[in-house]
Amino acid sequence: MIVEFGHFALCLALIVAVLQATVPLFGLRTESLAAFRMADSAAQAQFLAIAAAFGALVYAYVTSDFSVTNVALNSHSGKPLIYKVTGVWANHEGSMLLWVLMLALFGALISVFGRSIPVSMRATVLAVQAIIGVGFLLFVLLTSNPFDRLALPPMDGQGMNPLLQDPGVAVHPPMLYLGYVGFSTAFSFAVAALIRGRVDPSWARWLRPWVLIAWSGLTLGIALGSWWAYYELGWGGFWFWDPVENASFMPWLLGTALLHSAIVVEKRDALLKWTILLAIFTFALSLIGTFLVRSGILSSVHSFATDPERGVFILVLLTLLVGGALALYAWRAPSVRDGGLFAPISREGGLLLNNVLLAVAGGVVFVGTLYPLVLELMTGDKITVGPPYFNRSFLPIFALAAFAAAIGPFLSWKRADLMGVLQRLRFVFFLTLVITAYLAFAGWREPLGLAGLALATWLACATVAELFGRANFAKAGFGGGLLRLVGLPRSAWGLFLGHLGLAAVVAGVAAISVWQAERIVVQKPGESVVVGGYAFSLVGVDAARGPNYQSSIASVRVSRDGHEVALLSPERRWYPVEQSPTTEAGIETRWHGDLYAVLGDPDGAGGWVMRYYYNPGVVWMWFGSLLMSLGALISVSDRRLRIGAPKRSLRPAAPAAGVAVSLLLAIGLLLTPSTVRAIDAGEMLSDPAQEARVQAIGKQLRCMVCDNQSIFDSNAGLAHDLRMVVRERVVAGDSDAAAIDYIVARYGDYVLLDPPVKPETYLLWLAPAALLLAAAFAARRYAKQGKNADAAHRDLSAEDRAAARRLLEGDSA
Amino acid sequence: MTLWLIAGPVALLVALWLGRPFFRRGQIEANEAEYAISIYRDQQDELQRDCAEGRISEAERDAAEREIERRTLRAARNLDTSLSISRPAPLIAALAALFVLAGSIGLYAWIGTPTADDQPLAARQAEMRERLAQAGDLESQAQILAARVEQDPESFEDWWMLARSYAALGDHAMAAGAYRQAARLRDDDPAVLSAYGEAMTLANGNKVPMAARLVFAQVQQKTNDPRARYYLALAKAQAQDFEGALAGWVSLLQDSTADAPWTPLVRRDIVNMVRFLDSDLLAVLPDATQAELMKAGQRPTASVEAAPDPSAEIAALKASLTETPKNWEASIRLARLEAAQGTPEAAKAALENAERLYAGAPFVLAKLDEARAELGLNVEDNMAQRRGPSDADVAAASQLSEDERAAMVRSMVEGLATRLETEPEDLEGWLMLIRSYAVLQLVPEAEGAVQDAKLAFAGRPEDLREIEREALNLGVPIN
Repeated sequence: MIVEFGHFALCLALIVAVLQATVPLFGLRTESLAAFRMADSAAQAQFLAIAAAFGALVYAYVTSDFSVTNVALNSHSGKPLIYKVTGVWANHEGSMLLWVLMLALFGALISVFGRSIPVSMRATVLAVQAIIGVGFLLFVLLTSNPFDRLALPPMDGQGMNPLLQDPGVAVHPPMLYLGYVGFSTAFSFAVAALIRGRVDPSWARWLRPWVLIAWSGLTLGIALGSWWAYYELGWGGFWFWDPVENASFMPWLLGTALLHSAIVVEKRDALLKWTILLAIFTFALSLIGTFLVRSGILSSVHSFATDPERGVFILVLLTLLVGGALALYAWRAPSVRDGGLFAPISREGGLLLNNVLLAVAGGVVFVGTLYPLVLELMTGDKITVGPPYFNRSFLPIFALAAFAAAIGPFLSWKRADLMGVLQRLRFVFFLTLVITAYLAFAGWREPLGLAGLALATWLACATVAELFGRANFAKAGFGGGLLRLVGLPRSAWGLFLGHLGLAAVVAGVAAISVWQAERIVVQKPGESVVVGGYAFSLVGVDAARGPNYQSSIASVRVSRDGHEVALLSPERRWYPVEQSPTTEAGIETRWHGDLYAVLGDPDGAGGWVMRYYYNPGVVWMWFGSLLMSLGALISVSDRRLRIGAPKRSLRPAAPAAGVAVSLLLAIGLLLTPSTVRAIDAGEMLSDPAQEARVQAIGKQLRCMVCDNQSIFDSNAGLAHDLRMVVRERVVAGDSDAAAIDYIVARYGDYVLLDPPVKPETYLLWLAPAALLLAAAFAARRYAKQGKNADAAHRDLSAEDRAAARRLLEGDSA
Repeated sequence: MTLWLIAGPVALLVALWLGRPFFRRGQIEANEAEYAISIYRDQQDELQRDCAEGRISEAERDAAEREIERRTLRAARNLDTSLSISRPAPLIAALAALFVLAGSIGLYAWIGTPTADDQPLAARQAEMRERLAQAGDLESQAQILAARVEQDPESFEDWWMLARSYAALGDHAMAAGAYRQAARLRDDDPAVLSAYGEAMTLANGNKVPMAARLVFAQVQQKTNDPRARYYLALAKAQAQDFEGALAGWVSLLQDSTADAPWTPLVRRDIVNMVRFLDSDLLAVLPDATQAELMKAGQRPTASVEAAPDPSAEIAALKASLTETPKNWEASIRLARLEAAQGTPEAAKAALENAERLYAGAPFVLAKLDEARAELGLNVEDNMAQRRGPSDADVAAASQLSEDERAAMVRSMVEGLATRLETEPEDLEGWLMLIRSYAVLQLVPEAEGAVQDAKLAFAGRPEDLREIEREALNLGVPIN
């Protein structure tokens, strides 16, 4: 009964969404206030209905109601309660239900907290939101219905991927969806502006809190996913540039750009068209991400072609939504007036540069992600675009953006004095030099890594300096300065935390990418090995039993200079129901980095394969992400974004119907699992020099059944086989290049993480430069208009000024 | 029905909630220009603050102020400045409400399954236990009773029944615990206590533990309970007091009628004890039979019986097997005797019969195969008959597409169903068929298969229970 009521509630939500999508637009023609008001009621009703459906599904999971197909396929009565709940969104149907729940949540929030938005605008936004909702509710009900029933329920379910039975994954999807789906608000605001044909600075202010919330959630979601991969997959890596990760990263990049360009719109009435376009594209990328992950096209183009129903549905939806929005843009944008001219060197100019760089970076990731798919569809050739490509093309662009982020906040609006700013930054520059020199002196000498650390230092120092400049301790004295700091608008603190967090992330990524220390060894209890200056010694391995798994737990003592610093407990678990193992890394986090141990298989002679890492800077990455996410939230709470409703509102806002923001309710997930198999003790070569070469070669080769992981970063059976082939070639006396050629000859270019340069990939390799050039050209054209910024300034007559003053004082007629 | 009782009002509530704005009169909403200007007002405030804090110069402030003023004017002139007032539109409200009601109920009726009830696992398990218990399954009875005493630990009846269920299942340790609770609730009623002592003894591998001896002694003080007397004697025997044990049993036998249920047991123990003590059986058991005398190692009064004629034993075995067919040891014995008699056909028939009955028990099947091999009856024949997908079939299946695989599964199930029509005496086949239909979610077919199987095995309660258990397990209705 409860389950079927959930199903009914979902049907009801669809019907309500249909009304919400049509009636307010009809009201726009007839100027009917009631039609606008209905959008609010509908948005709230729709959310409550979907929440009821979601609750019913959770109930079915918690009570192990295997008459629900979805539960029978994805749950098991023996799971701990928490994973029964998180299991709801750890499968396709449930995660799509979470998707529409989030969508409706944003609609309901706009209807409740968007009272500062004029009702006609709000209604239009909610109507667009509901159009998206209708599409996805149809998708859920027609192709992915979580409420399908079995006439003859089995006595137990088929279980849940053990990799996903983890607290990190429990929160990751809701956060990710908060971001993904949250950008739908940006889309709705953009389309609403185009429908109404009127955009002004207030539009950007209405838009901005929603973008901030979405961005905050997405930032945290991406960080959580990366954290989960780091500690659960047990290969010491945190980011593989695989398509699933890129699918969430692309909206993040454009969302970051949107966040910044919206400021320009609000403050300076400029970049209007660009911001609208950016909002459309940000959500389009969210939809493309959903399509990539949900259609199954990633695992295999072939499997997508044989069972295309879901993929085609999302593709059609994507085309209709994005195509419709872009057509509307082409039609309406010319009537949008872009005001607010500015000089190239100005705060606006800086933010424009930020937008250009982030958009290009997003474009590079987009090309790198979709190129292999398109190439395979068109020519049948398979290639891999792996981390080397992204590192080479994306990182420099992003580094440039980070570098500029230090300078931007110092620029003043409209026209800035670059020399003056650089003067103010002299001290920061000097400080950066000193700290970098110290780091180099302390032994951090790899040029690339050092450059990364220098960049992080530069950004951090400049950000702190900017905040201190605002406090103006010199003039105001210490106490006065502190008072000023406290009195700063929240958005200033948001900027501070966001940029500081970025600096921390840059430092962390640079450190772990360049200075990660790794050893794979076979150890007997009592033996010890030194990794990154720390001695890891295996104490012993014990057996244990969890609620639904068996496990082997090793204890590893880590010491430095003879002092014990940590006791690690890496685990290997075996889940009998799902018939699959997982690894739980033993991690000790210190401020400068992580000590990280992974337990492998026994070698049968009393030894165990152990992987030891020293991962410097890891905690900085997570901490930085957290700071960024927090910064966005603090920005949302800025006074300006909270108030701003007209003071003369003639009618108290209708009491918000009990829309409880139950974030806990929310959540879904998708990560493709790989069958785990650790490196066998027996497979390693006895000659350490040869084994080192094998590992160096292996890092360039892709495990073809995984997502962009090298054969040394994967535990799939195929990766093991490929490792063996590499070892054979090395033992046979092949050079590195000959060994790689041997494998490419058999497996094709697909096996190379770095795609070869050949006619089919010219476009891929040219793309970053081409994108950058095109963006620079467009920005230059834009900036040219601003050259005579002052000339465009015509003064108002005294009469007009007086009228404006009266209006501003709240005395409008 | 309950679903509609809730869904209907909810749909109505939503319909009214959506229609409500159209009924309201005189609602006024501020115009858009006001919203825009309120933002400029904020910007102006911020400007003043920045200037006061010295973050921008006065000149900058003036320039910015002028821009704000210009925007304000533009907003006031370009944006909609009229106030909106709502007028009631009951027709639209009614249409919207109707759309919500008809749309949601219609859509759900089309794609939903209104009749499907929630089936939480716990409830399903409980229900299945209940039905199995009614069908006579002891384990389910015990589980139900155990749940019941957990709820109400003060019910003597439940503890007593639970203890007896455990005892019947052979779990004497659990039975002892339950009897103890029952005894507590009955103020140490001697009958209950003696059952308690017996369970303790049986749980202890038929050795009377000290605790049980005390219990039996307590019982004997109150009543002349034969069980207590028997076990006290047994305890004496186990404490090396053989004479005392013998005396105890003999006196128990004297006090009992000849047809008391424990008489054969006591007589057997007396005979064994006499043989052990090498004393005179007739002295303690004047009505000892010839067989008992032989067993006690004493010369029978009459001459030894002739060696039993195998044909007599064959007849006896056949008779016992018609009465209780499920006795594989007897079947093997019968086959051996038949083979020795020179009638291999009959031997084969006996084994095959047993095989059919034990189709689901691999251990027994192995024993039967062993016997068959030993007696030189053809094994190969039989192995080939045990049908199922061959390895080649399975390998082929893994190569197929989803549709082809489904077609293959269907054809295999159909083949099985056809075979069972002609050879219904195949319990394992029926169970497999029911299971296949259940996995394919073909409810009517599964139900039909259960009925057919029950028909085929009518009069064989063991097999019927097996079929019902499987059906219940799969959720297939059995009546």
